[in-house]
Parts: sequence; structure tokens; C-alpha cells
Amino acid sequence: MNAILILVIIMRAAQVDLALPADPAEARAPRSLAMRAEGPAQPPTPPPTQTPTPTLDAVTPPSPAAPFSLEEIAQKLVFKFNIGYAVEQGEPQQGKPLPTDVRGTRVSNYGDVVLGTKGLAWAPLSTYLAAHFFVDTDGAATMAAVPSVFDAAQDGRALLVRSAWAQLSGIGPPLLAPLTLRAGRQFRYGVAIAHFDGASGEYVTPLVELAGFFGRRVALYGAGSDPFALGKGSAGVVGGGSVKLRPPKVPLAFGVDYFGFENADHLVVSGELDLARDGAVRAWARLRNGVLAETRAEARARFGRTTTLAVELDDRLRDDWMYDFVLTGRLTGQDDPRRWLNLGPTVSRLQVSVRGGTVLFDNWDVLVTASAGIPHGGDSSFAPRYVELGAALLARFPFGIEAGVETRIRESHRIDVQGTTIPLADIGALGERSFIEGSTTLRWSLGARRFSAEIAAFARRWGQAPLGAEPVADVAAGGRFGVVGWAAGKVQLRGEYEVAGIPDRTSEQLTGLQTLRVLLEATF
Amino acid sequence: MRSAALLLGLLASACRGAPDAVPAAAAGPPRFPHAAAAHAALPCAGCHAQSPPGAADHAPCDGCHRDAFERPPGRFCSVCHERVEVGGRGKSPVVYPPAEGGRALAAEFSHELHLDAAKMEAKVGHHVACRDCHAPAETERDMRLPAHPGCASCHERTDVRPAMTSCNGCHRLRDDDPSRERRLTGGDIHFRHNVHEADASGAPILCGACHTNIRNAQETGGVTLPPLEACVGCHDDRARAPARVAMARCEACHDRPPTGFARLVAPRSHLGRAGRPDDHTLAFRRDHRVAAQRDPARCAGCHAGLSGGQSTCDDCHQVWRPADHGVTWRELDHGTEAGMSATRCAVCHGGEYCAACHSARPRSHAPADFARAGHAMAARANLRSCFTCHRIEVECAACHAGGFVR
Repeated sequence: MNAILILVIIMRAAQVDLALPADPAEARAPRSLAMRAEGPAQPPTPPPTQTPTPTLDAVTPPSPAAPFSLEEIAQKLVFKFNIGYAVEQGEPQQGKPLPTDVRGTRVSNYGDVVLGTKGLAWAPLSTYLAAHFFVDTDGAATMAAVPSVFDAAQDGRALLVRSAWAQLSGIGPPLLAPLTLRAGRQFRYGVAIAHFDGASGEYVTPLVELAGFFGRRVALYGAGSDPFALGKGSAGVVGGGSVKLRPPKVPLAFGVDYFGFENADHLVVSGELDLARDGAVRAWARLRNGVLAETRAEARARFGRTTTLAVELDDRLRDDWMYDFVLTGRLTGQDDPRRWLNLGPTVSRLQVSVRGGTVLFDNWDVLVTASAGIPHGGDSSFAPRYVELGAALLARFPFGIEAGVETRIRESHRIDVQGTTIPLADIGALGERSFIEGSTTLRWSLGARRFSAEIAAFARRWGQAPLGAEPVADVAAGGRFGVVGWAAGKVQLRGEYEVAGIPDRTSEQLTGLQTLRVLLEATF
Repeated sequence: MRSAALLLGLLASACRGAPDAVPAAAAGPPRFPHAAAAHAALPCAGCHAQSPPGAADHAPCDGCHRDAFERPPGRFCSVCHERVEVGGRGKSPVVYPPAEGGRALAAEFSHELHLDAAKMEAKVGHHVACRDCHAPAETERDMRLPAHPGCASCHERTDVRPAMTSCNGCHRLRDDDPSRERRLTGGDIHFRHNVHEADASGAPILCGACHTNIRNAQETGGVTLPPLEACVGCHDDRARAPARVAMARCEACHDRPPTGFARLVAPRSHLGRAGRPDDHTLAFRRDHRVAAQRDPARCAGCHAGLSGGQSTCDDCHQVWRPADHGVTWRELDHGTEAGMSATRCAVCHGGEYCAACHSARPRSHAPADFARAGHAMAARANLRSCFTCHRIEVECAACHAGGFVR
């Protein structure tokens, strides 16, 4: 039986046409295409029948004899500047002209300059300069309808040097290769953001990071009661250092960070777990003068390509600084910068923030946020209990069009502060009770570094608790229009116009604000 | 003594190292006719932007000589190639199963190896281009899958492994060889290779322009569908694709194009280069610190002014205003936001920044009678704003200690 079956199979197989269809590539498949050695040119035969048409852009090749090509210099040099023109205007109430010493319109020029080198003159040497300038075209430091930090400048002009440093790295024997030394005006991120004129150093290896800094604190907007007293008064001395350990083969890091300013010192102990895809978990505790002042934990994770989640917990205690390390809880007299900036007593408050986002249906970009402030261990009307929820949706359409909507809702609960010495006892509960904002944006883009235009509109509603009256609601709306155009990928021209109304009760003088800004920026 | 001589010799060699590192110019005229009029008119970098010219599917030579490359190999090839032996393909040593009976692709085939020009030239004397295996017929719309004769043109040689007689050198034999019947382009998508050989400007479209991962595919199963970004690159470029096949024209690729709102809200992958990268979501704009720290150079690829170095954060955050710092920020919003989270302000602003404004008399205090009756309305509207600067026990109590007037 089996033999018959095998015979049938063989017979059927014999009937199968095993021939392959002709392979069209067979005729031109070369057996050998070994490359010729360099030698005398051989013109192709037959010559090409087409007239060659250059299709590539002409590029000037660098001269091999030049010690520095322009391309090399460009790679080692960063130069960026922008110069802007701004008109800011307040619209007075009908029939109520602004007081004579208040300008309704401010016209100003402003800009930034950044110049950096990386190994231009000497491979280990880098330099960086970043400065901002502002010129009020009226030249006078008079009050304006739209307030500005530069209104306090003596002649309506300011030149702020933000960074000016030189840095050496990769010098000396291999043991010193991880060492970086920097001197000059610089920022240092750590316990606090320190801006100082001084020196800093870092020694960074995969296992350990050591850093230290010391210098005179920079107060670009002045020290003491004179906002622009740069160089006239002491801004204090800052210093500190840090140690960070990264055990091998585990994505963990542990750090100790010290920061000192005048009579206060701050010590941060931290731990960090690095996760894949931009994920990280961090926790730290900060001690101010040896007393626990802040504990913080945050976790960030990315799921897939577009889904992210961030959770932050920040518990600041009553022994923490008030605003930053400069503004502490004590009033030091007439020169104290908080003399006219009363932020109330420092109270313990836990702040929780959760943000999550994803892209639905392969297009709808969704962001949901929630945050809350929960005072504990005492109340202050300056640091209310609040809950804020937000949501945003952005959809992309053909032809580079984006449209989005966003909303934000906040409820605040303010506590009466008892014990005041004059009959204004209920002021603690005054102020904002609720806030609702809705906005929409439409954007059209021709691509990165080409052209884009954006128009946006918003409306807001504040629920207020005024003095001696029932809670009321104020409503305002506004809009923005902006365009950005690029040339050669290096130069951009921005224009932006904003207009917004002001609730009548909020301002006796103005009904609205508007600004026009034009900015030219070039980066090389 | 010999050691000293050896050391001197090494030092001398080291001293000569630097000049030797610069390759000397070719002694004789190059094999390529640079002086030909048509070639002389071309900019050097037009061909020498890639090294060596012609290594990638004969680009950019095929920009002008496309017809010559399409013809069977001949004397034209001898401009660059030493030997051009036009012959048939190798002989298949095995009997194929019938076409209807599960013909399989070679699972172990490495595109990465076969497209490595240096290794191929070292082993078989020439590099392998895509069309050497995937040549289409004149009348067919798609490229052909290679057959044994094509492989045999090299693998029939005794020094090329695996040998044609070693089936499991390429096939997993009764395992999971991918079927020849599989189609990467499925659903209602229609695609024709033969209309994608050149773009609207006449420039050739290289295989790698769409099959972006092919040079890294170490086995046949690793060959994936070309990413949509590759389609968008041409189809949204009017210089390379006509408007009738733009990405916005769904029917250019889909037999059953979506209608209505679904047509309007297309997947982001189809929307072209005008938008931001897919992972630059609303949430990413809020929380990009970790990503920016880990790969600052990626940010610098698009965002002007980002140096990709230690000053990366400053380049943006010291210059650009946050989105919510609009026209009403100074007048209406910043106080409340600072009360909610002063630490957010302190990221950019030191205490003096606040004091610079808060030490000056505000606009609302300008009226001459403000210190007397003029402040009543403002105080009733928002008494809290008064206490930003003034203390009840000091300034207010000076007049209101006996009671306050409604």
C-alpha cells in the first residue's frame, strides 16, 4: 500500500513543472564588478546620450592648506543676538485720563547678545558671554501704564550681563581629564539657583561627581532698597559644593549638596533612580541651619512614545526660606528687599502636582493636570489652600495647521487671620476665591525654521471676595496674534500683538492693555 | 644599544607621523574623467559629499547617467570597474518546490552584510547594489524577490560561504522562514515601485530613502515597512511630488479613503514635516527636563540658540518668557500665581527682581488724593493687594486705628 502511495506521489511530482519563469535580471547580472585601480582616465564608451544636468547645489570646498577653515571656526563659535522693539500701552477709562505723571505708552528697545567659543584659540578653553539690554526710548524713569521691572532704572536704560565666564577642561594628565574649572559670572544650579562672580570646579566621572563654587552673589536688579544699585552695595557671598555617587551597574545616584549664604546654610541629601525613556524618580530633603526645611519627591515616566506622567510632592516647612535663599523669614530693616513685598509669614504647606499626557487616536494630544496646596501646622492668608485642575487638547490638521483648547479651574480657600490690632479683622478671607480660564489657539506652520503664524484668544472669570460686600465675579478677555519667519535657518523675525481687557473693579484707570513686539534674532 | 636604537627609531617614526597622516595626492591621473567638460562643470562636493562616490546605488552618478545604469552592464561600467564579465546567473543546485507549495525566503539573509560595500568588494570583488538581487521586469510594477540563481552568482564559488549546497546556511528548514507571499503593503494601500524610481524633478529615489532600516537588517525578518516619514518627505514637497499625490490626498495611497471628520483629523504620522516631532506633546513641553539633560544635542537640532552644551537650559530659559507671561501677567496674574507657588518664580527670578517693582510707587497711587480718600475704591475691590506692600499695624493703623469707614 505504501509502495503504491509513494509511486503515485513520484508520478505526480514528475508532472510538476519545476521550471522557473525567466528572471528578467539574469541577462544583466554581472559575474564580476571588481573596481579598477586608480589609473588613466578612460572615457565611457559609448558616451552618455544625455546632456549631464548638474542637480546639486554648488558648494565651495574648504582649502586643505588653510590652518582653520571657516567651517571649523563656525563649529567652535556660537554667536547669537536679538534686538526687539516693543510698544506697551494702557487704554484709559473713558472720561478718566491718566494722571499727568503716568505714561499711557512705553516704547522700548531690548535684546540679547550671546557669544561663546569652544576650543577656538586653545582646545581646553571655552568662553561664554550672555547679556541683555533695555532702552526706554523716552529715556525717563517715569511711571508707565504697563509696569516693568525696568521702570526703576535711573535713565530708562539697563545693561545686564548674565554670564561672562571662561572655562578650562580636559587639561593635564589623564587623571585630571574629568576636571572642569570655570571663572567669571555664572549660574550654578543646585540647592538654589546661585548667580555669582567667582570660580567653580567640577570633577565628573561615571562613578563620582564632585563640584564646588565660591563667589560674590550677583543681584542684577540691585541689592537693598535701590533696585539698580549694582556695584554700590554688598550682595553677599555664596559658596558651596556637592558630591554625587553613581554606583556601577545600577541606575541609582546619591548626592549631598551644600549651599551657604551669609548666616544661613542649606544641606540637601538626595537620591535618584534613572528609568528608561526619560523616566526618573528623585527624592530629597533640605535642611536649613540644621533644621528640616523642605522634603520633595518627584517621579516622571514615559510610556511608549507619547504618553507621559509626572507626579511631584513638595512639602515646605515653616523653617524654610520665604521666597528664595535671599528672602528669609526675618525683616532686616529699611534695606530689606521685602520691605515693600510682604509675602506673609512662612507657613508649612504641602504641594501636590500631577500631570499626564498622551496622544489619542494617533492625533489628539491631551494633557490633564491637577495640583493642590495643603497648608499644615498653621494658616496664612498669603498661602491659601487651593485645588487647581487643568486640561488641554491639541489636534493637528493637514497643511501644518494645529488647533487647541485649554481650560483651567482653581478654587482657593482663604482663612481669616485673627489677632489683628485694628478693626480690619476679616481681611484674611479676602481675595480670589475661584478662577476659571478658557483659551483656544490656532497655529499654522510651514515647518521648523520656516514660517508660522498663531492666533489665540482667552476668557477669564475671577470670583473675588471684596471688602464689605458679597462675593463678586470679574470677567475679562483677550487675544494674541504672532508670526515667526525664518531666513536661511539662521535669522528669524518675530512679531507679536497682544490685547486684553481689565475688569472695571480691578483698575480705576485702565480698561485694557495691549503690546506690540517685533524681534529680530540671528544665530551663527 | 639595540634598545636605544629601537627607541630612536620609534621616536623618529612618531615625529614623522603627523605629515604621513595626510594622504598623499594620487600620483597619476584618476580613473574618473574629471576633466570631461560635463564633469568639470559640477561642484566637487556634489559628488564627494559621500565617500566613495557611487557606493550607494551608484549615486550621484545616476543623476545624469541613469539610462546607462539601467542598461545591461557594458563598457560604460569599465570607467570604474576593472572587469565587467556579463554572464548569466549561477546554477541552482537544488530543485525548487512548486510555486504554490510554500516557497520561502532565506531567513538568515543579512541585508546589512550584503550592503556592506567594503566587505563585499573584499570577498567577491564588487559591491552589491539593491537591483543586483531585486531587479524588476520591464512590465512589472514591483521589485522581484531574488531566486537561487541570483545568489549563486557569488555563492557558487568555493570561497564564498554558505555554499549553495548548504540549505541551512540561509534557510531554517521547516522552521520559521518568512513566506514569499507576505506583503508588507497591506489593507487598502496601493503602492507601485515602478513609479517611485524618480521624483517629479527627475532625481532618482534611492532604495534606502524609504527602506531606511535595510542597512541594519541582519535577517530577513528584520526588514520592516518603510516609515511614513519617508513618504511624507517627498509627498509634501511640491518640488518632488505633484499636488495630486500630496499627503493630504488620501486617495493617492488608499483605495478607501476616509471621509468627513476622519479625513480632516489624519494620523500625525501622515501630516508632514510642518508639525513638531510626535513626542513633543503638550505634556512634553511641561516636563522635558530629563529628556533635555540626557540628550541636549537633540534639542539643538531644531531649537536655535541651543548650544548643546552646558548652557543649554540658559539659552532658552534666560531669554524666553513662559507662555503664560502675557500682557496681563504683570498687571493681574503674577501675584496670585506667586502665592500658589513662589518656587516656580524663583526658578528664574531672584528676590531683587520682585523688589525692583515692589519698591516703586504703583500706577494706582498716582492720583493726588490717593493717600486720603482716593484709595478707598481700590482697597474695597482688592484689599489683599494693599498688603503686598503695606502692613496693617503700621501704615493702615496710622489712620484707621479708630475704625474704618465703609
